[in-house]
Amino acid sequence: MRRIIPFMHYKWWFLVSLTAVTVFAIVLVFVVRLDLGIDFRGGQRMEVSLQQQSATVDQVRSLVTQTGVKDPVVQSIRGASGATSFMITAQEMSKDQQTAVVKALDAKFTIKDKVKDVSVELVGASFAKETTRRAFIAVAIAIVAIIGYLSFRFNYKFAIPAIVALVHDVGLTLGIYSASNRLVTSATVAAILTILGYSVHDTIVVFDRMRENTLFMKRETYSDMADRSISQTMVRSINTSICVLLPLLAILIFGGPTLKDFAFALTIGVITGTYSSFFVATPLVVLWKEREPRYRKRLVVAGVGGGGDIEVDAGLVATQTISSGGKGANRGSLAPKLGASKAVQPRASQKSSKGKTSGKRPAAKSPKR
Amino acid sequence: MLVAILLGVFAYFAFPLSKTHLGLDLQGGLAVILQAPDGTDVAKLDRAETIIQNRINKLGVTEPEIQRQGNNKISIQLPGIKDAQTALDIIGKTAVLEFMEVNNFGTAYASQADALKAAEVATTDALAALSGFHEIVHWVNGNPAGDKYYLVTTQPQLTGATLKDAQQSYESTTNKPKVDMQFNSDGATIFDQITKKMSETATITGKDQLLAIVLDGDVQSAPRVLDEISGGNAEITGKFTLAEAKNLALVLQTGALPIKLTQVSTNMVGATLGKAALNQALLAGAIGILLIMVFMIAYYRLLGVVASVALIIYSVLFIGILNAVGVTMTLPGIAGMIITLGMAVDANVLIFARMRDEVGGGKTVGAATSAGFKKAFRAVFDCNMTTIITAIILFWAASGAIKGFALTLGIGVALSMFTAVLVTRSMLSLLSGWRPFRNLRLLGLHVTSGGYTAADEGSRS
Repeated sequence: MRRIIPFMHYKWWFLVSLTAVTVFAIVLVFVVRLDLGIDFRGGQRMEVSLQQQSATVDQVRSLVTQTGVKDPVVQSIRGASGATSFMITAQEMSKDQQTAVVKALDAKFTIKDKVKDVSVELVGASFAKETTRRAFIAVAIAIVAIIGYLSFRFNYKFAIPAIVALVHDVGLTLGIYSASNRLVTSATVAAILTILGYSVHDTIVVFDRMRENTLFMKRETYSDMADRSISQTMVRSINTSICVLLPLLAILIFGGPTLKDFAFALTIGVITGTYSSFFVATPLVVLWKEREPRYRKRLVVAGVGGGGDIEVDAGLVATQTISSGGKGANRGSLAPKLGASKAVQPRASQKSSKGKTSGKRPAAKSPKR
Repeated sequence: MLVAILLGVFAYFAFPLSKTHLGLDLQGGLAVILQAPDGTDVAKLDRAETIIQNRINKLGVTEPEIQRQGNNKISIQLPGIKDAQTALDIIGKTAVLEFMEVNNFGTAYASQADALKAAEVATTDALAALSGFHEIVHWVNGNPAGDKYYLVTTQPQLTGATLKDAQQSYESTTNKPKVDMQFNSDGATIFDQITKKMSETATITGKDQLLAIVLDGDVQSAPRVLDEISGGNAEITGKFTLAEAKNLALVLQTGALPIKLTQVSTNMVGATLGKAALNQALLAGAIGILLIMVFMIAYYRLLGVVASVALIIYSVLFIGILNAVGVTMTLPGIAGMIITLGMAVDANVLIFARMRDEVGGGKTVGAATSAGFKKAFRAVFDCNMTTIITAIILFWAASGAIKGFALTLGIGVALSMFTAVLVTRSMLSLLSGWRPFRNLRLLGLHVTSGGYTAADEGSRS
């Protein structure tokens, strides 16, 4: 027996709290400032693999500063076997300074091969500007394209909430990303775009079920239908997300430095993308749909004409009523009673179904307004 | 099904992993993007590209990749190149070689300001405006005393365009490396005339006449012209290491770039570092695939096994396709592959979950299978489409290695629809006769215990 949790009963809770979280995350992005890598600001990045494992970030930084490089960012990364690697990023580093850095590091910590064990990356300022511009355009186009596609496959009342959920996902991802002091690189933008594409997966799964359930559930309120759809799809949505999270986890643990940041961003995006489908996208659709006359009518019917209405306890977790109908005897009756509520409410009105199983219906809830 | 396995086997043997083109971030090498000034005409850019191509060929790089980016950029990738720094110096060098007559009887100035004072002007702009077209050229580290500045006539008497060939050789007295140059017939005539005129002037005035040999605006050497030189040979001596002389000769052979190109982005990856990155990525991928299989089999049992087999077929086909198309594998590209592993099975999760619904709705395994696939397909398709859309956008917007990510993501998701839907489907129908595949428990379809499904609702309404 599948429990149906009346999520939509709490839709305002979800919406308000998650909006707050998103706003907080976005404010955080602006306060902490995204740590833009050289892809977007221009500059130089060096990766050097050192033989002596004792080298620390501070030691390397002071050596680099001594050569006259201003404000270098030094990160320690897992390097080739038997060596420690360091990533040195600076806005400006002349060729002479690079040579000096390599020389100084070699003197102190030994570089096995000055060609094979050193990488240098340079990004010009104008090129960086263009990369930034393209990144913004790409994200904008992606959002429009997804709205377009969802409007085409569902309709705009689904597409817009899906995008709002995406804003939540991306906002949170950026917030956590910037708070954890990670450099934003082209790979991060790739991760954001992938999140845009992927986190609608779970939303689509719920929406697809809602679309299907709308056809079968002719009397229920839209909220009930949404709750049922969520309950039916939640487990599989979590499972699909686990499937994507597992390889990401592998990258997080075993991958190199560039991939790690990338996987980190994606991990947050996938997790937020999963719950936002239920707690952001779906409630918004419900709010919007229940403004339509036919669903408003059902609300009224459920509120007023809900026969033996249930007493809803304050701390109610879930209500569920069972009607046993059809010739298939009481196979599905006696649902687990959840929370404090109990209301087995046989509905005489229900026609015998040809189906073998019992038809169950969620309880009509107490009036909402 | 059989087709898929055959394809997989074929892919495995025809395009094994070891044959994959590795990007320079995985095997070391050099990537550089050169930019021409705005408004450069295409013909010049084409010529520059050809010259760069020639220089790279002379370097002996095995798989260079030279591409035009936008309307004024040239992107160059030299995976596996050993000495990236040298290659970079050679490729990017404009190599405009000019022979210029030094004014004021070869007087050298200690600074640009001194040179300007001698010409009785305040700025370089004012100098250029003077009749006679003067400019200042700079002799870097010509001698330990420091840089020298010369006033020269702007119009070069002779340029590298008239060179026939150039080689590195040694000075006979000091045995220092030098560069020999041979002019073509036009160049030889002009060179003859210049040296004749200059040596005559020297004889008349009794003062030195210098001919500055200027490369990309810097004086390489400024020999005294004592006699007329005929025969069309010249040399640059003085300050080279052997490698520098060799590189200059190479650059002069291929000719000057018609435009000045600036490096807007460079990426030099050390070979060891690239290899480390590759190994880490492959390890992560292998563990990722294993984790997914363990999860799927734990949750969906036999169905999970089927999904795992489909996943392996997917991986092999994927690598085969990438190799067949000739995609260069980059680090982000591998990340894309690893992520699509998860996305490939997530279609299976949706389908299996639907099958559970259907079995819960009272259907037989066979009926549930076909219904499950049918009903899940719409959601699977929509999900994958959004990812493919973003992959396409990313492919358009990104540059360099990230393009590789977009490519693997897009191809992977499209392919995964094929393996996760068609391959699992056909595997299930093949295996459906086998007894374990009728056992709900073994199939992992038992968990659902009845429930409100679309199926029974459907029959009611």
